[in-house]
Order: sequence, then structure tokens, then C-alpha cells
Amino acid sequence: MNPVYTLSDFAVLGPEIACILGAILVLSLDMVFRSQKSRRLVEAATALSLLVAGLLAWGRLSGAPSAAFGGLVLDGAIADGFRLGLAGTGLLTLVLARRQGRTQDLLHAEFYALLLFALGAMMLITVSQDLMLSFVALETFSLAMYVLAGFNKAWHGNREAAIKYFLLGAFAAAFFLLGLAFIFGAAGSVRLDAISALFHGPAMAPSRVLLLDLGVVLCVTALAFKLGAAPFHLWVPDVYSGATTPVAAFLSAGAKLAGFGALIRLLSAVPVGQAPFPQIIAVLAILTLLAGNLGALKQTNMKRLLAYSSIAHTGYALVGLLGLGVADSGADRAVLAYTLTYALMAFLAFALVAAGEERLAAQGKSRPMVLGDLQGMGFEHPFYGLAMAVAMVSMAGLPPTAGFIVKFGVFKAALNGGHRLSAAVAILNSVVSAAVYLRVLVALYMLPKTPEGEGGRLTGGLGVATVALALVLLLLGVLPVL
Amino acid sequence: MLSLIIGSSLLSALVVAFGPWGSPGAVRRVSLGLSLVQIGIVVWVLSQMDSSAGFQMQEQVAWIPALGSSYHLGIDGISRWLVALNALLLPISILASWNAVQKNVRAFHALLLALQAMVYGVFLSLDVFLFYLFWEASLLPMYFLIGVWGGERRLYATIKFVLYTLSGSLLMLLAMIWMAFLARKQLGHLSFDLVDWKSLAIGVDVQRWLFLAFFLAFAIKVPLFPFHTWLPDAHVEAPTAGSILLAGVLLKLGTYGLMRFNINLFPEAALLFQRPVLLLCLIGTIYGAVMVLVQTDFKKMVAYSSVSHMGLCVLGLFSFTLAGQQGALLTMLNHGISTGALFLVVGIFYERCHTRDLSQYGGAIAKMPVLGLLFLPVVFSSMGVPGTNGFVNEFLCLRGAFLANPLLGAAAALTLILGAAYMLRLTQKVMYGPVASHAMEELTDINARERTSLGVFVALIFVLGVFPNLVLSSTEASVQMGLDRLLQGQPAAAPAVAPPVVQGSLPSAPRAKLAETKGKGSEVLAFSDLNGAEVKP
Repeated sequence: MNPVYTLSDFAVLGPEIACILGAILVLSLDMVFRSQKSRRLVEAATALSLLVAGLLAWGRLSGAPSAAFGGLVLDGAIADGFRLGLAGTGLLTLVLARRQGRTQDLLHAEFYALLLFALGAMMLITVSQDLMLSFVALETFSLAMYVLAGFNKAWHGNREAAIKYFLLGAFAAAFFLLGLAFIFGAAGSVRLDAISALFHGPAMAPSRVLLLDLGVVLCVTALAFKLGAAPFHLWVPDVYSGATTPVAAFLSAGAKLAGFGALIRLLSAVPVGQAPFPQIIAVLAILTLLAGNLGALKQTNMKRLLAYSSIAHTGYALVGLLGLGVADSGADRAVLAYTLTYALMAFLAFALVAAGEERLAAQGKSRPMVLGDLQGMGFEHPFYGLAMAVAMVSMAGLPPTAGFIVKFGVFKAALNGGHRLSAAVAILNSVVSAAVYLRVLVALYMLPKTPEGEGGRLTGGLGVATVALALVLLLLGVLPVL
Repeated sequence: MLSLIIGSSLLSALVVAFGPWGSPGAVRRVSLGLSLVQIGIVVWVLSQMDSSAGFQMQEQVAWIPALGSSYHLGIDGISRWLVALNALLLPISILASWNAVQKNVRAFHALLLALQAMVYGVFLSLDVFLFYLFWEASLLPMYFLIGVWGGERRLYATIKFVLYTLSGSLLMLLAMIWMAFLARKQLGHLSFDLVDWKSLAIGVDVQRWLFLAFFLAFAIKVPLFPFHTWLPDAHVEAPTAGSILLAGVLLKLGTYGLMRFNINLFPEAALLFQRPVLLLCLIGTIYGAVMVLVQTDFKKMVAYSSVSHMGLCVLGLFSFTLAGQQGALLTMLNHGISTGALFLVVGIFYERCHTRDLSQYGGAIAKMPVLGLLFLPVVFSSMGVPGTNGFVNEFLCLRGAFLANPLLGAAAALTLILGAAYMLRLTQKVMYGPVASHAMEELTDINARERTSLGVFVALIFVLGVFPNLVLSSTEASVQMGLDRLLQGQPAAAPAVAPPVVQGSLPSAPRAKLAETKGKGSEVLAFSDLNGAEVKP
């Protein structure tokens, strides 16, 4: 019998549908108008579809989890939170792209269409209950990302970044597929509810458990690659510094939201409190923290620094996953809060880098922004300095910023899971990360201005966005929403 | 009312930062005015307190219910004088930077006020999450104060300061979360409330880890002996105002934390670790004093004398006697005054000579008779000469140490001799003797602004030296309550979970001493008789 899908099935996927329809609309508009004028329309259409997607996700946020398409997808407060965050990420990318479009050759309808396709697929992976569907979503947004990463061929190392990202991404996809095969072999299904039932059902033969575990671990590996978790992180700095700034910001925030959305889904179907999962997550988290923080210590290129910082933040969010095994631990919430807040911090930091790049471009200098460009900017451009300071303090996880509250949340989740040692090792990494972000503050406020040093000016939409983001980070640091 | 203290201070910082002040002079005057208003507010609030033991003027508003954390403030005998000290030191710091700070004046004063607000928050929070928020937030203003307005090696010093402090406090954060989960297990809900935490029964095995995590954070802040290396760097590079506040109040955050958390929350672990801690304090006290003797840098001498004094303070604290703990509390206050005054004097000299190298100093008294006059009481206070405030607290701390262990007391008393040696050497070198360098010949005596701030310190040195009961009588009840809790008043369930370690030889000694101390309580407090007594070895 052919299944009959009702409207309510489609309502669950509302945000995804809004994104995909938006992408098609953008492409059609571009075909019809084919002129410089169409840019405005394209931007408006993108913004509109993202707003609709965000509102639809927002509307479902408080409702009960509902399954659709015969259980193929299932939303819920956590998944809707991720979807809402993804829509917001898209809007922020739009703000950045608008600003940098002219200098970085992003004024093509294809850019916006790819962004919307990627977001639609990212949202889909956070609600998918079927690993095959997850794989399709994963590949869809990855393909869009590969193209986005290579969008500006004139930018430094852009092509190298895109190729590197593509090749390594293809490997990750293969891992995921292999994992799927193992899981199917052991469980006879790739549906998460079936896997979960198998684990909670009567005891299985050890070889079958091994096969199932191996499959899940392979899938986790693929997602860890997308998240830039160590030891699968080597592509991150190259790709971030090679991609244009709006794309780098989108990569860091969007990929994290989608990746952790998928990871939480996958891990909640398996007994995450039992070996080998806690060990794997703990090792992954600590390696990632070390790689990110130690790597960032030596960077002078701002985008590479932010790339390593993005790796480190993946590590903190992984720490939060340690709490998943315990019922009612709020670990999923903590990880959601962490990635959402990270998105805000990352966009703030990347927006400030974008402003700096703009200044450099205006002076005819064709080079990436380095730490030295920030020297003496804190007092010369107070608002730029303060916004950067808020971003750095928040990334370092110090109060009174949102970064502290969410870091507190993930460590609380890990301790709730009983992982004291891992939490202690992980939290000591914060000392290293503090050193990383203090270096930026040192450049901003404590070193003299260099003759050629240039920060940036905050004007227009970018200025409004940065000031708003900084204020939100401060406000959430004092009055957290938990 | 307590919110008024924190809120007005924070508001002052914002007013200074964003107000329409035209010139640096206006910023200085406004900040000074606001800091004086702050003193008025603090005096008014503190005058409403009585000398009972528990927390007073409590305020509690729901804040983050999901964490069981509320905006909960309160004050008791232990925190009241630290709050007062915090209010007092700010105008003096502003006066001390009047000429010394010339760039980014607005940001400098806003940060001073913000730092003050954070420190108030630490002393007044009864919710531990709130406490931690203020604790960490107080790092940032000091980071900028040292890093932007500091000396030549300021970047090294300020990053070292932040990273050291942070590494301790992050583990404390984990311990706090652990405590909140213990509260959930025993009370049925997550809680970060100090009052809730005091009612928890915690097994010694767990207490031990929690104690160590909290201890590390506070020991770095105090700083106790092996964790002190950030302090000389930070002090030497900090601007004068930064040094005054660092020594005056920021170090007290550590001793306050030890008293409020380590001793109060983990009594059995505190007894268990008493000896190692006392040993560290003893080493720190002597080591700090010896280090002062070999310094050639004026400011570094004062910095190391802080290590010595704070070691003695914690020694008194961990003697677990009324005398010792009262002495420790008094040391927190008096060290803020005398070391604050010493850093002020260092700043006065540095502004004029632009060197801290002691070999360049000598014969200053000829050019600066007024400073010479006001400097002597400060030196005496730091040495602990009777009649000055320093005598009272050193005596009480040593008495506590002696009651805990006579040998320890005797060894710690060495610090009196060493203290006299280094302070007299310092005075001799700087004030008397031949004029050592060209810079000394062009010295001018201190002006009215400097006289005022130093005069306030000197007045307090004598007032607290002669009438220590002004402070001691209002702190006694709170200190005694903490001690009772430590030595016997443990939660009902505790003995059941207490493993045999507690019945070992260690804790019985302090318990026996409690009786002794209690008997001598009245004697300790009738202090005015002892003032004239000669105890100098």
C-alpha cells in the first residue's frame, strides 16, 4: 500500500520546505531579471524564506514532538532549537555577504541559492530519524558547502581550500556509508528507533553488538569530520582562511549546529553511557580541545585563529555530550545552548574581521587580516574594540558573558554524567584558550598602533549587527535563558 | 540595601565610562566624587548592622531557577570590614593616579569602579554561582589595569596573573557543580545557595576533593607559598592604583574564600588538611620575609612582604582558634591599610625618580620631611610595633598558631624579627643615609593630595592600633559561629559517614584546644590591656 502523506506531515518539515522553495525562487528570479537590479530581489527573497523558516521552527519549539512521513522525521524542542539557530545563522550570513559582496565577488544568485539549499539540508539532518535520510542531507549540505568554500576564485588560497575540503569531505562521506552498511547488517534497518529498540531489547550476540557499535562509531567519525573535531580537524584552518569571510562564518556556525544536531540524534539512539561511547567521546573532546587551543596559540592570521578557536569550541560542545547517557540530564539542551551561543560569538568575531578586511581592501592591500592590524584599535575605535573584546571574552568563557554560562552548562552536563576526570582535563584547557583570546585583547588595547595597522569601522548593517550581537552576548551572560 | 552598594558602584563605572566628560581632569574629579559617595553609602549601610553572628540584610530574588541559583546577597561580621576596606581604598587609588595616569583616563577610572563593584559582589554574594560570576569578572578589570597602564613587562605580568588565577578557579567551578549535585541528591533540587550548602552532609572522601579544588583557587589568590609567583610580577608592573587594590582587596578574596568556603563547608577535610596547610603558611611567611631581604627593587620588596603577611594571615585562619581567626580577619583589614600605604609611597617616589632600584635611593628625608614623618608609622605598622594596627593582628595570629602548636607559633614568630629587619633596612636605605643619586636631589615633598591619602592611612593605623575592638567586637560572633561549626557543630549525618581518619590523632588536638580558646575568649577581647605590653623578642 502506498503511504498517504497529509498536510501535517509537511508541516513538520515546514522550515526545510521554506528554505528549498526560497532557493528555487532565488534561482528563478535571477533567470527572469538577469540584471544588477535583481540583486535586491534575490536578497529579499533569501531573507524572506529564512525568516519564514525561522518562524516555522519557532512555532514548533514549544509543541510536543511530532513524527511525520511514517516516522522518517521527528521534530522536538531540541531539533527545533537547532533549526531556529540555523535560520538565524543564514540571516547573519546574509548580513555579512551583503557587506562583503562587492569586494569578495559574492553578488551572484547562485550564492544565495546554495546558502538556502545548504540550510535546508542542515535543518533536515537535525530532524531525520533515518540514517539514510541523514546521509542524503549530509551530502546535500556538504556539496553546497564545497561550492561555497570555493566561490571566490580570486581570494587567497580559495581553490586550494575548496579542493582540500572536497577531498577530505568525500572520505568522511565514505565513512558514514560504511557505518550505515555495518548498522544495516547488524540491525536490518537504518532507522534510529529500530536501532534503539535493538539496544534496549534482549541481549544480542557479542559479534552483533560489535558490528553495531562499529557502525555507530564510523558514523560518529564522519560527523566529527564535519564538525572539525580532532583528529579530523586538519582541513579547518586552511578552509576557513581560504574561504571568504561570510562563508567561513557560515561554515563554523552552521556546520556546528547541524553536526551536533545530528550527533545528538544518533547518540540518543544508542546506550551512550556504556563503553565504548563515553570513552570515545571523552578522547575526541580532549583531543579536539588540545588541538584547537594549542593550535590557536601561535596564529597571527585572524581567520586561522578563529578557525582553531572553532575547533576548540567543538571540543567544549563534545564535553557536553558526555552527559547524554543520564536521563533528564539536560545535556542535549546544554549542547544546543552552547552551539547557538557559539554561532553568535563566531558571527560577531567574523563580522569584525570582515570590517577589518574591508579597510584593508579600501587601502588597496590584498592580504588577510592579521593580529597586528588590531594593534591600538581598542582606544582608537572604542566600539570596534569593545565589540571585539566582548567576542573574545565570551569565547574564552569568562563572565559576564554568554560564553561563560553555556560553558558552565556543558561542564554541568558532563559532571552529571559522572565524568569528573574528563571534565577536569577539559576545563583546564580553558586556561590555554584564555591565553589565546587574551592575545587578541593585548593587541587591541595594550600594544601601540603600528604604522600600517588598521582595524575597521563599524557602519551600516554590519555595525548594527555587531553591536546587537555584543549586547546580546552580555545580556545572556547576566540573564541566561536556560 | 546591599544591592545598592554593588549597583551604585557599577552605575558609577558606567557614568564615568559613557558620561559627557570633556577633560581628563573632569573624569578624575567625577570618579573621586562618586567614590566618596560610595563610601557614604557603605558607611550608611554598615551602620544598620548589628553584631550578631548570622547573615544580615539578606536579599533574595529568583535568578536562574533551572540551576537553583538565585540573586542572594547577605553580609555578616566576616564580610563587613572587607566591604568597608574596598570602599576606602578606591578614592585613595584615584588620588594616587592623579598625575601618574595620563592616557585613556576615562577607561582607567571606569575600570577601577568596575573592579570595585565586582569585589563588592564577591564579598556580598550568598549564592555561589553569583559569587563565581563576580569572582571571575573581577579578573578582567585588573587584567586591563595592569596590561594597559602597567610598567615595561606589563604584558607578561598581566597574562601570568590571569592564567594563574584562572587555572585555580576553573577547578573550583567544577567543585561547585559537584556541590550543586550533592545538594540535588540530598535536598531534591539543584542549589547553589550557600545556606543550603551548609546543611549538606558530605562524606570525608568527597570533602577531601572538594576542599582541594576550592583550596587551590583561593591559595593562588592569597597567594600561599608555592602558588605565589604571579604576585611579585603583577605588583611590580601594575600602576600604583592597581597595586593598592591588588594588595588591598584582591588578595583578600582568597582569604575570605578560605574562611567562607573551605573551613565552613568542609570542616572534616579542613581538619584533615590542617597540618599541611599550616606548614605551607609557615614556609610562605618565612620565605616571603627572606625574599624581601634580598630584593633590590623597591616595589618587589613590598610585594614579597605581602606574601609573608598573607602567609601569617592564613596561618591564623587555619589555627582554628578564635584568637587566630580574629587575627586573620584583622590582618586582612590591616594588611590592606599598611601595604596600601606602602604601595602609595612607592608610587610617590616612582613618580618623582622614575626608578624602583633601591641603590638609587637614599637621604630622602632631607628633601621630604613630611613624607618621612608619615612613612614611619606605616613602617611600624608593617613591622607590627605596638601601638600600630599591625601589632594587634600579628599578635593574634601568632597566638592562634601557638595555641594550635607551640612549636609552630615559635617558628612563625621569626617573621617578627625578619619583618623588623627588612622594614628597617628599607627605611634606612630610602630615607636616611647619604643622598645616593642625582634623582634624589631634585625630590619635592608630597603635596596636599598625597598628604591626604597617606594621612588617612596613618590615622587608621593608629586608630586600629589602639582600638582594635572596633573591629574585633563586631566580628567575634560570626567567627565563633564558624569555629563552632568547624569543631563540633557538624551536620547530624556527618559522623555516620565519617571514616576512621577523623578519629585519628589529627583532629583531636584542635578539638581539645577549642575548650582552651573558649576559656580565653574574654582575655583575647580585652585587648586594650595588652597594647602596652612588650612582646618583641
